[in-house]
Amino acid sequence: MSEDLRIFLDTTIQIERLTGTRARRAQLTAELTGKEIVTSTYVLGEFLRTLVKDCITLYTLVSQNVHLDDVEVQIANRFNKREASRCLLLWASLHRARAYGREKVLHTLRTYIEYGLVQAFMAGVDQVSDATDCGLARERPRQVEGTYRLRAQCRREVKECRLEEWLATYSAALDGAAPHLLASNEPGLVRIGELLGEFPHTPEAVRGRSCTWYLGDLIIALECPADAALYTTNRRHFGVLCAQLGKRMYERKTL
Amino acid sequence: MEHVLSVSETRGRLTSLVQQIAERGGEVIITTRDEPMAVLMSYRAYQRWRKRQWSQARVQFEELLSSAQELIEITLEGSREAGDSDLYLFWHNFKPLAEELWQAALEVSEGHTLITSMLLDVTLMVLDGDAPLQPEHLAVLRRIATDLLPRPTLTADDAAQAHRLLVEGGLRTVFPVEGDLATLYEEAMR
Repeated sequence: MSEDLRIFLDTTIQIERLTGTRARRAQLTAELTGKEIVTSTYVLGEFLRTLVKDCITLYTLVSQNVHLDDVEVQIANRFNKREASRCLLLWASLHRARAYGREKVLHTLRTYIEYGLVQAFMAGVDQVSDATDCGLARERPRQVEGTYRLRAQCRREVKECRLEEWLATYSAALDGAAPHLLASNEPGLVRIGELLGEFPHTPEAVRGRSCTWYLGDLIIALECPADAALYTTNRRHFGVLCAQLGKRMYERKTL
Repeated sequence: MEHVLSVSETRGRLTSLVQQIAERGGEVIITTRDEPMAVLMSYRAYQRWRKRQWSQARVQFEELLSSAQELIEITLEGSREAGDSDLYLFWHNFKPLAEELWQAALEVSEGHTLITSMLLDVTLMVLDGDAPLQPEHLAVLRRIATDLLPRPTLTADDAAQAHRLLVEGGLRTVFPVEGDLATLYEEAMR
């Protein structure tokens, strides 16, 4: 098999590039060096509503608590496993940046929120495609009431992208994929299949939480250019989607 | 027209001033040691002023309520399950709104004031606590913000209904107190 020269990064890899262990980050750098790196504004939107929003949560928690150990207790008690684990990854990257005291933590989080994370997202990226023209991807955190706010949630009644029109251009491929997704054992893939069934009658059904919760993986798989390999840690969903849509997945090298 | 008189100047002329203002309008600013302390105006002018005040407060209240409703809707659309960080950010962002709503409600009605005061208490308690964050709590707030607060008048019964909704939805409206209130009060006063 020939070596992939163009690699499309999905959100999981973009997050791993920042929060992975030292060894994993070194491995990623080695894998991506010399390749043409592609990502998309939709991936950026997902990155904003996960890692950047988590950073805002941490900033708010730290600014509301005098002691950092209270922040850790709050993360453990109040947040679910998925959210707590992402916060913990960020917490680890703060320590990696030698931020231990409260003031230093707040300062580092501010730099992450205001430019650091988005800058790191763009690092080494040669092309950012903009197929969906997602309005939320253009949002950036703004300072309000001693913390930050980020408009990150898509709403069904507000049209601020070209997702419907863009998806319609793939109607034949999507019609073909829908029955296979509906037959899957994965609830997330079944939901994508259901939404594809609704799409021709109610195109707006793909907006709002459908877009941000369910259709993300499908959108990213479709965005991956024909001559690029999709790099993700979520092989469970993308394996099926890429097979159905005729896309290639990047095979992680053992270094 | 506006006149400025001291308390001592007003004392001997109060009856004639009241009659004059009631008949011809105008206002008298009453001072103590050259500091303006009170205003004498006709009851009709006072009623007009109160109505204007109420309308402005009502407009401000409605604007704040609409922001609160939008924040609730966006968060409900975005949060998937208990413990989502969106819920923490919601309560944090809702706090200043709840404070402003309560301030504006003071000029709207007693019922509005009672309910918004409960919302503020609930917000402070959620932020001070360490219980897992629940999306169901926002559903209760949505009900209060869309069914009760937009009404032009609200009574103590409506406030009691809001209280019931909050409690049934798992949101406490009274700070938990350890020990009896009288002892706590005495300790605080020492």
